[in-house]
Amino acid sequence: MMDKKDIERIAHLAQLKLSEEEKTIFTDQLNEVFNHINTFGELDTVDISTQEPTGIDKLLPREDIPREFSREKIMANAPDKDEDSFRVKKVL
Amino acid sequence: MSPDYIVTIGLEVHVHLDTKTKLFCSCPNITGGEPNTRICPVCTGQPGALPVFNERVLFQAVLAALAINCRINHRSIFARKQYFYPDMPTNYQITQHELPIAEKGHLGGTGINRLHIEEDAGKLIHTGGSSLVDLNRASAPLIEIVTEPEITSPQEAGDFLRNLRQILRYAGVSDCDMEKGSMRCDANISLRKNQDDPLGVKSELKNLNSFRSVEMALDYEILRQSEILSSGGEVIQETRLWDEDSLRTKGMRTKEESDDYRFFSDPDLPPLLVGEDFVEEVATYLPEMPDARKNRFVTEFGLSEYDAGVLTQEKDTADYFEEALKVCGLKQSKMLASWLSVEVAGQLNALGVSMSDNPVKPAHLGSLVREISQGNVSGTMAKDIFAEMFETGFSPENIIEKKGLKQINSEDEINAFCEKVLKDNPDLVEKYLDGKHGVLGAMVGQVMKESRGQANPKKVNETLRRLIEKFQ
Ligand SMILES: [Zn+2]
Repeated sequence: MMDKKDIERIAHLAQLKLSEEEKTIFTDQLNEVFNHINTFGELDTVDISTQEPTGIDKLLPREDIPREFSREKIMANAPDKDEDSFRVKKVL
Repeated sequence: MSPDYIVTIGLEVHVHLDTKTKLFCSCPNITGGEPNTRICPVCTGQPGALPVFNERVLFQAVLAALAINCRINHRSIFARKQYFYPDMPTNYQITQHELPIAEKGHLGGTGINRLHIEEDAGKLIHTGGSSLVDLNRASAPLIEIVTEPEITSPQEAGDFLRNLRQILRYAGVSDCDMEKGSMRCDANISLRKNQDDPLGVKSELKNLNSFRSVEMALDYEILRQSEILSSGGEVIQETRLWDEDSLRTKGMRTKEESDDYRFFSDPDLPPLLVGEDFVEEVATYLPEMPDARKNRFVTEFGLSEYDAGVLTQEKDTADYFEEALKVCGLKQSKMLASWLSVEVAGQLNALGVSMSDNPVKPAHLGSLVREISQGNVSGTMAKDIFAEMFETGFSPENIIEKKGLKQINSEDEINAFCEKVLKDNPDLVEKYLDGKHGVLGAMVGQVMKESRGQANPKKVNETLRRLIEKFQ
């Protein structure tokens, strides 16, 4: 079970500021999600590796050939930018 | 440095791999340039974009691992390291955590704990009120090499890094340029009193931008920690930044829980499988390593330890030497070594050009040395010819031919020059006959002038003496 302290820690790591009300809401919601995930615990997973989560047994690599992508298309999605860079709140 | 304490150092070295594209997308993998010109949905973390692994990274990582004698794991796993910082738009770095591509190697007596593949982050430029994000470097391929904590002095740490750099450059894995950031190093250091004591509390040093700063920061840290310990205090575990201006390390504000990365295996990337046959194939690409090559230069080519060391410092130089030696022949190895390490290296250094961009082809330097050894060009002429070769990239034969620079060895021609000079300078001849043999030098100079420097000076000297004797 997650408690308020867990939520505060996660919010801190994610740099989110939560109100007291939100903390309660997220605690309840996350606990619901975890309860749901706990139903997997009833399954027999003895022979299933936790390190092969994809169901695909090996990586399929690509050739080392460069391709250009339009910068404008990517930058168009940025909430804030100058002419060639994304702009974010000042961080140090 | 500090006889009271045993020093224990471990290094974490990030090396930017030389590939055409990034680790998980097809954006060009080039450093520098205009911001955000090499970005795509994958390396900017757009929703729904999926990483696709670059096969060249596998080759380069395995090559690097073999060069430092690591064992290759036939199955390795990519994991997500979660952190929130705008240089990483996905909010996690893809790295290898529990199962790295390679483990348990060694280099020059220092044990290597592991080598793993991971992606680089973008770059932040802090301006007045905001920070600007350049994602050209985001998802560029890196390997991280972690040594065992068994280095015992700053000097040893510096030697290890120089050795590692040389070997990875030889293997063609990376240019390992600390100033350009294609090689970066963090150092962990702790002190303890006795060999039997457990390792002391360590500090992690960052912002080390050169081998020199690695050594200086470690020196400083030994002083700082031993002062704390000998006054009965306790070292706190923290990250400290090396400050190049004040020549000190400074503690960073320790963010609570900042290293809670919550690793888990990346569900977008299945395990990386590497077969033994692939490892064996990659091994065939390992070049002869610097030490072995240096020894061979001594035994096979008769060079001094020093010359062999200079010539094998960089693979490009050693390759160049061997290529040129084929043309001038084994007997001229010393003369060639001197031309390459003095004249060629001098010109390249003066212009800040690397050996790979040397305008003089190895075969051309080889034939210049051959011409000198056969007495076809004098030392001074050779320098002029070389200057022209360096400027134009032409062969020495071509330049000699065009400028009519070939040394004159024909007796008839030299005789003619000498007779003219003796006829024109009866006063000098008289002085010589009076026993003032010193004037011979002036006469040789005259002949050299007449022949535009092309007459063989030794033969001119002999001929003048012989002709003057006849006057008596
Ligand atoms: Zn990309």
